[in-house]
Amino acid sequence: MSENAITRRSFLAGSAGVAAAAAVGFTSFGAWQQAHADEEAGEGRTEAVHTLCNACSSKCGYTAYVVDGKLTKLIGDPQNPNASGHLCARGYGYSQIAYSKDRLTDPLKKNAQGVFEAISWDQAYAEIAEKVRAIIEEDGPDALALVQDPRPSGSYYAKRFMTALGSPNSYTHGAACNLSKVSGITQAIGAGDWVSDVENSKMTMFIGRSYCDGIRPSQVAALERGFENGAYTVMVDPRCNNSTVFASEWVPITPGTDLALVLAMSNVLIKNNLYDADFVAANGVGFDEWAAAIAECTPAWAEEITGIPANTIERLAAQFAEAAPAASIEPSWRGAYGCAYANSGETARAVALFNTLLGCWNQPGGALLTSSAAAGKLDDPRFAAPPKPEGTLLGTKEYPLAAASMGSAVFAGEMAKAGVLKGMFFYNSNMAAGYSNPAYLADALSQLELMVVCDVQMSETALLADYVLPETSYLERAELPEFGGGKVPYVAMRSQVLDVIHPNTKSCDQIFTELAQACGVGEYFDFTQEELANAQLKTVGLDVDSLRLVGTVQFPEKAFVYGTAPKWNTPTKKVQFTSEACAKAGLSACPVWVAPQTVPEDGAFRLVGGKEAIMTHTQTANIPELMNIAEQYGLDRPWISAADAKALGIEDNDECVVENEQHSGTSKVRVTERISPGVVYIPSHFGCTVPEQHTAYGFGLRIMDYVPFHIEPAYGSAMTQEATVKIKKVGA
Amino acid sequence: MEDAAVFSTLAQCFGPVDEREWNELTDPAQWSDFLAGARRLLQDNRPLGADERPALAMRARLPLQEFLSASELSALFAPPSYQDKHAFAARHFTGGLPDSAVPVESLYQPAHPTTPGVPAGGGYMGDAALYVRDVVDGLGLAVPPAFAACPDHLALELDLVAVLLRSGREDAALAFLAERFGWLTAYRARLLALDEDASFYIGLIDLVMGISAQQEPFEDDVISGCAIDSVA
Repeated sequence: MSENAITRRSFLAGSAGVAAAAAVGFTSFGAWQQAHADEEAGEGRTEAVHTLCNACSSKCGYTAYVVDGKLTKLIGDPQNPNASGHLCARGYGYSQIAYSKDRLTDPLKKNAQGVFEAISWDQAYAEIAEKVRAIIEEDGPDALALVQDPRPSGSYYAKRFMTALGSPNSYTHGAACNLSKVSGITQAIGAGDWVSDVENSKMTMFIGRSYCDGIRPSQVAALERGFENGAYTVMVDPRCNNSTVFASEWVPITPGTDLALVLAMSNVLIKNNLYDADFVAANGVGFDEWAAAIAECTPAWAEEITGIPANTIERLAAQFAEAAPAASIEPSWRGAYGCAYANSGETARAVALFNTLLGCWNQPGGALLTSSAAAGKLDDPRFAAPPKPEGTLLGTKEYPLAAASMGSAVFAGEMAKAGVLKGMFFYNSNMAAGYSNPAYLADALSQLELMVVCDVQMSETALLADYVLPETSYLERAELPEFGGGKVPYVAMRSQVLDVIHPNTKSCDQIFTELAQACGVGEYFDFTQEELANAQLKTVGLDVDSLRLVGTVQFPEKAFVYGTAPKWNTPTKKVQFTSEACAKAGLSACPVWVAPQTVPEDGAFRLVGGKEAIMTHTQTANIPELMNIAEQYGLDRPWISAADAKALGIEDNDECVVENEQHSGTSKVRVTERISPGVVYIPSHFGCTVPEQHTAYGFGLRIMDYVPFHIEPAYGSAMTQEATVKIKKVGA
Repeated sequence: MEDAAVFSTLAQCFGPVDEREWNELTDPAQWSDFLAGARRLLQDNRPLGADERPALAMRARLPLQEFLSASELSALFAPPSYQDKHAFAARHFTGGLPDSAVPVESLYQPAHPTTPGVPAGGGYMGDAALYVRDVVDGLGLAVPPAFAACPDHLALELDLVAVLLRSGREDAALAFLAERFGWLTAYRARLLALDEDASFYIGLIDLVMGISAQQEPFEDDVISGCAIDSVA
C-alpha cells in the first residue's frame, strides 16, 4: 500500500504530511510499569486539592491527592464539620465513579426506535429548547417541572433555570427522603431540624435512624463519645442496626408505630407531671388541648400497637424525665418518618413536642437549634433572581403541609401521568427507581412530551428520557460554595480535582447555562460559576482562592451558645402543640394517633428499608469496589427473624420468593435475631434494572418494586414503607 | 512505508473522521490498496516495516478469505457510507449504553490493580491508558483532546503503530503491536454480541489480530530491546 495524504492522516501527529515524531523515546510496557511503580513510591508530581464528597448528601470535605493526573489518595479534612478528619467507605469507593466504564460520554437522544444515539450538544440544546418553547406556548410554563437531589451548584442552577422559564415547579427528592420529617417538625417549632447533642447527653433516643449505616463520620464520632461518656442511648428500630454497638438498648418496634410510642411517652410525662411545665407554659401554645387529646394514649395502649412492653415505655419516659434537659429524641432524617408512612409527618410533629416537654431545647446534651451560614445579598445585577413565576408549585393545594423548599415530587409524577405536566427535567435524581413504585413512575413519566435527564451514568430515570445530558463527575468540576450549619457554621467548597476525563461531558452549571441560552433566558445566566462563587464568598469575607486553600472555613463568631433562648418561627411564634395549618389540612390540630395505612394480612410481613454502612443509594451500587464488599457479605439479602424463618422452614441463605401484589422476586435471605418478628427488611439501594450499570445490574431486590404508588395525606411524601410482603422458600 | 499506511487506515476506521475524509479513505482505489496492504501483512514472513524481499513479492497472494469469514469479507469489501459509520458510532462508540462498544483498551482489561492508585480494571484511565499517554508524550506528541479520557483508544493505538513506523522505530512499532492488542479478543466478542451487524469492524479487528499473530516470531527480541529505552 502506498503512502499518500489520505493514509498519512494521523490523530497523533496532526495533519497529513507529518513524517515522524520529533523524538523517538520508547519503552516497553513492562519497563514502564516498573518506572511507574517507582514514581508511585514518591517520585511523582503530587497535588493536593480540597473538595467535597458526593456519595451522599453530607458532602464531607476531604483532601484529594493527585499524582500525575491520577487520583491516588483521599483524606477527610479535620476542619470540615461533617468529615472531622475521616471519610466513610462509600466516600472512598464512590470516587471511582470518575473512571467508571459506565460513564455517559456524549449527549444522547432516543431515536424513533427507542434507541439512544449520541448527538452533538448543539443539537441537544436546540431540540430541547424547541420543545420547551412549544410546551410553554401550548400549555404555559406551569407544564414544566424539575426534580433534583440538591447539590451545591445543581440546586442553584437547575432551579434558576426552571424559574427563568417561568415555572414554579422545582422539586427535590424530599418526598422520598425527609419531606415529612422536615414538614412535621416545622409545624411544631418553625424549623425543619435540630441537632441532638449526642456526645453530651445523658439520654438520646434514635427512632429509625442509624449514624453507623447512613454514615456522616462526625456523627459516628459523636455517638461514640456519647457512649464513652456514659450517655444512655436508645435505638428504636425494627432492625438492630449497626449503631446499636454504641447504644445502651435496642427497642424493637412494629414498623409505622413510632407515633404511638412518642405519644405514650408524652402521656407518661404529662400524667406524672414529669415534664418541664415552666418551659411549656412560656413557649407553647395549645398544650392543654394536646394533653387532653392524648390522655388515653397510655403505655398499655401503645403496647398493643407498638409491641413494646408498657413497662418499657413507662421506664423510658421516666428515664427521659430524669435525664432532662440533657436528653432528646434525635430528629432522624429519612429513617422511620422521613417519608415512610401515612403518619410520618405527625410522628415528626409529636417528636418535636416531646422534646419540648423535656425542656431540652438549646440545653447541653439536649436538642440544639443551631444556625447555618449563608451568603449575603449579592449586589451585582447579573445575579438578581429571575421574576417570580406567576403560578403556584403543583401540589401546594393538595399537600399544603409539604415544605415549599422541597414540594412533592411524587405528586409531580402523578401530574405527568395525568397530562398536566408536559415536560420534566431531572438533575442528579433517579426518581423512577427510588421515589415510589417504579412501574407506576415509568408509565407516568412516559406520558411526558419532553423528558431530559442530566447524570453521570445511565439510570432507570435516564432510560425513560428523550435526552440524556452527560455531566462530569463530581471530581472533575468545581461547584458553588456549600454553606452549612451546626454547632459552628461553616462554608466549604467542591474544587476540581481531576481534569475533565470525557471531553464531551460538561459541568451542571455549564449545562443549565447553555440550556437557558438555548431556551432564550440566557440573560439570567450571564456569569461564570467562579464569578458567582466569588460574589457569594465575598459576602462572608472570603474568596474562591482562599477557600480553595483550606477547603472549609468555620465561623466561630457565629457558633452556637448553650442556653440561647430559642426563637420559634411558627405563625404563633410559639411551639405549636396545636397547628391551625394542620387542622386546615384535614389533620387533627394536635398530633394524635394515626394508624399506618397498611395492615398485614395473615402470613404477610411489614416491609422496611434502610441504609447499610457501605451502600446507601442507587448511585453507590454501581461501584465495583463497594459491590465487592456487598457480595462478600451478602448485603443484598432481605432480613427475616429467626422465629419467622423457623415457622416457614427457611434457613439462612435459602433462596426465597419475596412477593406481594406489586412484585415478585427471589433472593437468598438472611435469617437473624436482629430484626423484629413480622418484619422483612430489604436494603434500599439494590435491584438495579439498568443493564448499562454493569456492576449494579440485577444484584438484589429493589424495595420500591414492592411499594404501591401512594402519597401521604397533607404532607405529600411517598409513604415508602407502607407495604407488606409474603416470603417463602423457593419451591415451597 | 506501506505498513504504516495500513495502520493509519485502520486507525481512521475506528476514530472520528469527517465525511470528506471518510469518502477519500473509502474511495474504491484507495480502499483496494488498503486491503492489498493488509493482505500482505497477513501473509508475509517479515518483521513489521521491513522491505518485502523480491522472492516473497513474487509469491502467489493468499486471498483474504484465508483469514476472514465470508460476512466479514463482504463487509470489508464494501465499507460503510459515512452516514452509516456515523450512525454506528453514535450507537456503539459512545459510553454508558447497553450497546456501547467503545474501543478502549482499559475497558477490556481484567481487574489488575498493579500499582497503588491506578484504577481497578474495567474503568477508564487504567494502566494501558497511562502507558500510551506516556509513550505519546515521549514521542514529543500530545494526546488529542478528543481522546483525553482514553489514550488507549484503538484508533490512537493503531495510529501510534503507524507513527512509530514512520519514525523509523520498527522495533518499537513491533513491540507496541505485540503488547497492546491482546485485548482485541475480548473486544471482538463485544462487537459480536451487539444486536446490530458489526461485521465491518469485526473484520478490521481480525485483520489487526491476524497481523499481530503473523509478527509473533519477531517479537521477543524487540520487546527486550525496548525495555532498556527510557521514555523521553
